[in-house]
Amino acid sequence: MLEIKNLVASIEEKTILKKLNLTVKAGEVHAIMGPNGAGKSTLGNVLSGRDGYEVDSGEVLFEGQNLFELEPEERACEGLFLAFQYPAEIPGISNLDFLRASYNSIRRYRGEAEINQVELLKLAREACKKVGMKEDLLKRGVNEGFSGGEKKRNEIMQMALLRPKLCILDETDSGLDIDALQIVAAGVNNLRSQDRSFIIITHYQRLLNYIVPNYVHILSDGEIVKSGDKTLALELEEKGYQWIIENR
Amino acid sequence: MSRDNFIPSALALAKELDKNSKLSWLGDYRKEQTGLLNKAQFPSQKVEHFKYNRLDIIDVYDFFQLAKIDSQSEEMTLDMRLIENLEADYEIDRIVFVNGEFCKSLSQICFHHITPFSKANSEQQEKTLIMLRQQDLQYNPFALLNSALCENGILVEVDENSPDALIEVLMIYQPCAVNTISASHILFDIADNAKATVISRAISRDVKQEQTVLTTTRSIINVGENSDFTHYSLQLENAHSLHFGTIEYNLHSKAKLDAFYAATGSNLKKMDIQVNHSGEYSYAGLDGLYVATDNQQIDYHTTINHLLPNGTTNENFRGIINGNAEGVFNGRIHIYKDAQKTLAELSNKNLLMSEGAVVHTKPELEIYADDVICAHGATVSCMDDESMYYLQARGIGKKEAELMLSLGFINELLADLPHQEIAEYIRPVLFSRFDNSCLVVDGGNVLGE
Repeated sequence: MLEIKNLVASIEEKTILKKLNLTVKAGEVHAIMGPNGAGKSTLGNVLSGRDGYEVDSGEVLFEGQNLFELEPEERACEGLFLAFQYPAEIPGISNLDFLRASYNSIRRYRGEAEINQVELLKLAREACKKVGMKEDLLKRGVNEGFSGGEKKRNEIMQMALLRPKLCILDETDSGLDIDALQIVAAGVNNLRSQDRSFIIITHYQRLLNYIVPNYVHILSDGEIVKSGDKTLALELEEKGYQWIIENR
Repeated sequence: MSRDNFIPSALALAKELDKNSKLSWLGDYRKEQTGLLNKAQFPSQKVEHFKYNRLDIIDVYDFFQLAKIDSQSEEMTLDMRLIENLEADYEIDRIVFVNGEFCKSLSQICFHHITPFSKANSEQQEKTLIMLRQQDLQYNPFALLNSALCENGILVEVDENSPDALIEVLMIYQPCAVNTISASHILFDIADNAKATVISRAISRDVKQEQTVLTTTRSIINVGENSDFTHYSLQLENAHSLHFGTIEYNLHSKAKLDAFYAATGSNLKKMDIQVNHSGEYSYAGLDGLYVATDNQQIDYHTTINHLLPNGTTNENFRGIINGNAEGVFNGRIHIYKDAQKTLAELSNKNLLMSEGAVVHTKPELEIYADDVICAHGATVSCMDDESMYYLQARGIGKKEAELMLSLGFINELLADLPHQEIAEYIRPVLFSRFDNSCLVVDGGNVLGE
């Protein structure tokens, strides 16, 4: 599904990712943990194609394609989805209009017929139900005045609607209370399948109680310094990041 | 025609009109205004009111004859359709001006007192003259030109206790109006305890590129005690028009004004709006949108005078500027010494879509009372990167994302309109000015294709 080889990336000439390697196969869930400033969010932004993030060397293959040859919207249409840590608020565009534009853009890209407002509404309602999101948020401006928890649910709701191949969750657990965390995790677990992969970026082990990963990677200073199974997260929670840094 | 020739040519035209006029009761008024025009000078860029206007455009044209209606033209047989879906709900009167002249055959007047100047009785003549003299126009030679040419106009009287009058005013400019001047006057006298809505729309039909009519318009609206007046003023002429307009409101005690303005760009469109809070507890809500592209210029000057206590003003203008276009917004709120307990808010936000786009914005507060609450602010920004990235990360292409964000910027004002039919009508009109190749308008939603 995704192959990251020796990726070096920088922001404003400061190197953040330093020869990062990671392979994600279809159906796998990878958790990426690490201290503040390790480059976790940079990874998500580089993969989704955000402006201002320079790829200095290395390559990323997504389903065999060179990811960096694609525009951000093309990556999304190919099935890459980033659940934002801080989703943008866009007043004046209703959530529903936004979802329809997104859904139909992806369908057009794939040569499929667009769907109308009624059909979209039906799908969006189902997606809302899956993540416990209030339906009236569909009529509001995109994330406009949403609480922190509502914004994160909105991200997972979009994921449920768009059904991407590779989902990158950038600290989706931050700012969520335990109930919301469980609902969001259930939404993600619902989407787990043999042909869909997840990269879950998080600070804390807590989310991984609910979304059980196949692999846990520890990112420190721009590279993966340790990989293991879910027990690595528990060990890390107990011993702290300092333990990793000292044992390198 | 050079700018130096403008005033002498205007005076000659006013003289000719006066000589041929059948409305002698307007003669003294025209003479006064012609006298003022005679003393006026063509504005240089040193004149604050015209500082940013590209008045050199005047040099390109030779306007000095009056516009006439071409009665053989196809416009005269058109079914002048109202804004869709409005018709069913209201008893609507329609006033049509062609090239600035009231056109009886296209108008449809059944419900309200609508009187062309040519049919005014002595009482109405007196009222008209009082209203015309309400404001001093000396600051603006184009407004003086309009009043020196005062002949074509109508007086709309809405009776006391009228429940809900709805009037559409349609201004059409025919191809034959090229290189002429039009001057029209529309007066509304809304009595006490009445409710009225006016939808005023200016459109031009297929006027040849690079040629235009010089349009001057003046609207004067008196809103009586306890009355509600809703005004839509949609200036949607073609991209080559030149339009100088003034709109004046006088609000009496507890009068309520809800106004919405929209303008698409043209060579030069300059609208002067003045609101006088002449009674206590009056309310004025003014929202406006302007969309300019290519080399166009749109200028909104608003002046709100709070003369008496307890008035409220809420003003919100937004502009989208693209290409090498220029937007000008000058919003002034003047709170006089007696106007205690005034609440006034003014906001102007601009979105610049290209490197060549320019906006000049100046919100002004002038306060002489000591117990008031006022706020004003202006922003000028480019497309928000975060929002763009968010849309792109969901598969939406850059161009479509830009259009969606522009629509969002405008939608915030359109969503609040009391008549949503107008919002539905105006959305595609404004957006066609951006890019008519990749837009599909579908129930107010803009989707790329």
